[in-house]
Amino acid sequence: MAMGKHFYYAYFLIKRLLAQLLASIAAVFTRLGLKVLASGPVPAHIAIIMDGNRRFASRSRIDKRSGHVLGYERLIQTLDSCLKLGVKIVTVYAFSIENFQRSPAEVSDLMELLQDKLDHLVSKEQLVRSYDVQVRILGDLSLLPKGVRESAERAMLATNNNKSTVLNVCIAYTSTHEIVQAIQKIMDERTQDQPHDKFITKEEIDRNLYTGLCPPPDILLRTSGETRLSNYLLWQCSNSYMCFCNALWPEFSFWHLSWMILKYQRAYPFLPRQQRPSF
Amino acid sequence: MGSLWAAFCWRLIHACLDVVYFFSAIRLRLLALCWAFPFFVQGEEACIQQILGERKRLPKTVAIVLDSEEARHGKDKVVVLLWWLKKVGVCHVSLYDMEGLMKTSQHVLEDNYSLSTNKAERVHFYHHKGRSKELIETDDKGLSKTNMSNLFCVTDKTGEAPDKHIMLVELLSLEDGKEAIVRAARHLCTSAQKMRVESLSEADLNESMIESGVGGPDPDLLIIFGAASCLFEFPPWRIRLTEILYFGSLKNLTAPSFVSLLNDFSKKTHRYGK
Repeated sequence: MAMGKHFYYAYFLIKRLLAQLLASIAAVFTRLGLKVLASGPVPAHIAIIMDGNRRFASRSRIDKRSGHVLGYERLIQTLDSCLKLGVKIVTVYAFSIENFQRSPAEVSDLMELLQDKLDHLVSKEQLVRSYDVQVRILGDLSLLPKGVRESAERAMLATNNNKSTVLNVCIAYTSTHEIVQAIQKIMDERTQDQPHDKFITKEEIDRNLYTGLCPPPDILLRTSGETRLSNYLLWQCSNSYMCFCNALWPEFSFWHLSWMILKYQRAYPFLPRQQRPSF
Repeated sequence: MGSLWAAFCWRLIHACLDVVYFFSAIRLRLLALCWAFPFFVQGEEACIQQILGERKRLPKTVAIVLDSEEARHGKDKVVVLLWWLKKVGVCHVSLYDMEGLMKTSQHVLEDNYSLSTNKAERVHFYHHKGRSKELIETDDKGLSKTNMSNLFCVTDKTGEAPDKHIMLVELLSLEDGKEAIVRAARHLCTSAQKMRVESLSEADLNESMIESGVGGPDPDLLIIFGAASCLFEFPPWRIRLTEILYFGSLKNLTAPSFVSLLNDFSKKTHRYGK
């Protein structure tokens, strides 16, 4: 009996040690892999449409909320890899204005999760401190419930002085709404007597978009096999490398990221040179 | 020392990828050359008829984005592609390249199309000239100056067979992209200032784009031909929900690969945010 118990404990100890060893080896390989990738052109700005959380949840027979939680964890891991690689800005599509059409229960769940994760991101995530990440929430915040809006404002205030890297989170966002609000802003800044039309230029619209002074994305990634922009960064992604990945977002691994970077590096000589405001 | 090894590994990985893509390119080129033989013309017809027979969801409006190389050397293949698109029932094609080579070669495209297909009266090439909201007449076969919206998807109204309808080919370049949105925004703000309207909406900008003569249909499908999967500043306002498929070089386009693109398109589903 006692022998059986010792055997049982030894088995679990060995299993845990093996798992830790494998995780350390994986971490070493990830670091080496990122060092190799960084020998070539590295994108300064990556935009991601994190699609596939609900399909992953239904495939794994878990509830949708858990699917979104796994999506958040995947975001943190991917962000960590991107920042280690040398990417300066990551822009993610968390919630579209069109997503408000979902059932009220699902929208309410998502809002609660957004509020929770925004607070967690800024107060507890190590990588925000290690990489000096400025968190910016882009979108029409007036459409959000008070709790989420306040979390968003707290997140932006807490990381306002971080200048090394940027995480843009698009919430209550669509690109067409963003372009119209930019034109509205330019119109409002002029007085009644000044003719509006002379002040509207491509550069002025660029400056007044939510992404503001960020350089345009070098890569646009969409997971889950869909090949649409779904009203995301239409103006900014005009010259970006389009990468469509079949993996669902919670399955997006370091290998998928590496493959995306390798394809970008192969396409780099053929991509238009984008104008880069200094960052 | 570490970075030397990393650079070596990087070059090795890319060299391996170059070898793989090189053999893949040879295979695609050989396939394309085979399909170019007159012997295979019936096979092309059979492919197109098969996809029509399967009653899959096919696009009604298509956009084609060409990079500079493809726009310079691929006009013959573009004409073949337009013919295939017409066969499968597409009503409107937006043909785009950044430098406007398609626009300046409009007559070449028209002549090549009528030489190769003998059915020029069913395809109407046009491009925007800035402020006019009317079509530019390029032939006098009954398509007089009329509003854009009346000409979309004539098949739906008449119920004629897919290849009997008129297909519009819109030639676009860089000035029809962001610059067009800027022109529409200026027009919108001037009218808003005159009518003392304070708040603008997406519908207002849409309307203004049509008024300024830069509007057009949102493509169901956008195909990129070139060395990189990039939009090259294709008019951004129109591609909110467009399926974007990257093909590669126009030289490798064959009837089976074209049908394969349409098959990929037919499998896509839209959730519209829900």
